[in-house]
Amino acid sequence: MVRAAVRRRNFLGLRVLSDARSELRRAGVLLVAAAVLTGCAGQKTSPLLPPPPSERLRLGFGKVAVASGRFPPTFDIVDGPAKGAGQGAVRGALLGAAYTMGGGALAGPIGLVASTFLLPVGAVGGGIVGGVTAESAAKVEERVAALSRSLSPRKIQNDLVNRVAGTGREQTSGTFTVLAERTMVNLNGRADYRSLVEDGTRTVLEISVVELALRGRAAEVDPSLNLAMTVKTRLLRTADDAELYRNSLTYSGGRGRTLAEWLDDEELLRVEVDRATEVVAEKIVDEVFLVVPFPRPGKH
Amino acid sequence: MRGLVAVVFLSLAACAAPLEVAGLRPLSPEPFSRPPKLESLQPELRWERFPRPMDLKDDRGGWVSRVRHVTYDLRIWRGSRDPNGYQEVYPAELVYSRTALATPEHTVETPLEHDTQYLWSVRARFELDGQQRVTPWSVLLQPGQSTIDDPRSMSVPPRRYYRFATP
Repeated sequence: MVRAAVRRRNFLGLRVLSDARSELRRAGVLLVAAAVLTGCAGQKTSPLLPPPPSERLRLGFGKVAVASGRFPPTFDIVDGPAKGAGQGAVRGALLGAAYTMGGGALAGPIGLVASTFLLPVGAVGGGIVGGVTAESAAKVEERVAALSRSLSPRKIQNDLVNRVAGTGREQTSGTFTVLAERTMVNLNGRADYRSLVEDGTRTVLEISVVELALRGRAAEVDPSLNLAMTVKTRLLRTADDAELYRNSLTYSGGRGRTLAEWLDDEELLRVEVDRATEVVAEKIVDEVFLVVPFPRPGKH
Repeated sequence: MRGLVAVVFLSLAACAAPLEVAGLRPLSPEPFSRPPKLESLQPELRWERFPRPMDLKDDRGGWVSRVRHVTYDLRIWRGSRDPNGYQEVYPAELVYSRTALATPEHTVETPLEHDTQYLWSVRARFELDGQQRVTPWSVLLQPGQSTIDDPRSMSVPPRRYYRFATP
């Protein structure tokens, strides 16, 4: 029995050692990846919006029905806090190494050389701090679940549809109606709005919140998380369900908070979601119905 | 040595030159990379009239000649540091908004906060063939900026509105 216990302890010890080695390997790979990515940090890419619909197209819009996309958005935490001491240690080690290198680089060439030798010290120090400060995986999962429960993705989607219709009525002379929550779907599961022709609706503006997330930075142990909301818009002609225009917008919130801070005051998240809804709704109405780009030089 | 002086001089000149913009250009305060510190909590803001001479030139015989009843929309946001770090400030809170201003100038009617950075933008609102239309909100363009700062970026809200700081 004693032997069995010793074997088990040895086995557990080896597993811990093996886990630590695996984490260190991952740290090494991440360190190299971080170094490569740092070089590319200046090259942020973000897709551009297509040109707004032409005036000729806009003339044919007539009565517009605003509809919800079929799939309610998913809520996710992307690059959130480290889950457990292992992940915390890895991230802490990376941060420690990065700060050591960064600090050395600020001191000039000699500092840079010195920081290369001090890199392991920074990494180990950061690893210890990260390992100690990281919350357990269970605690992080529990917080994520609690935050998810406080949001209703379907309500957010419906609020956006209503806000777009309201903004459309305020800002344009067009007629906007809101379709009932269930999108009209044919037997193949595709949206089918052709029956709307009968009540004089010529155009459907379909709005889908495809992503709702709190986004952080993977390199930090307990990162500041910002709200991100991605919305896809399609404009369809009811006569033949032809797609006239489509775009995609991503709201990225300004004020970030840690997961614990967002949970401490759920009202803060509701306010931020409301702000996102307002900003996105206005941008959709602007792009689809109102904005005329300035003439480009040389285009006659 | 002379070369070094020339490089330093050119760099300083570049910093002091007003920035390029997309949209109606601000005339006061001018668009510099550092937000100008204003002397009043109720600043007077002025910008280009629409249509601009270049719009008429670039769109000869096009839609610009059919523009009627031009007015202007103005917005001011309180700026806040962007925790993502890729920009200095982002429009945290809309604090002032005016629609359908008759002329391309406006004196802020309610005092803004002391020692605060603000972002502001304008656009023209007009009738085109009897329909209400607007120009895009004006933004700063900075050399070497990323596509996230492009006026046509799919990322909202824009971070590159014009800026000023209050005394």
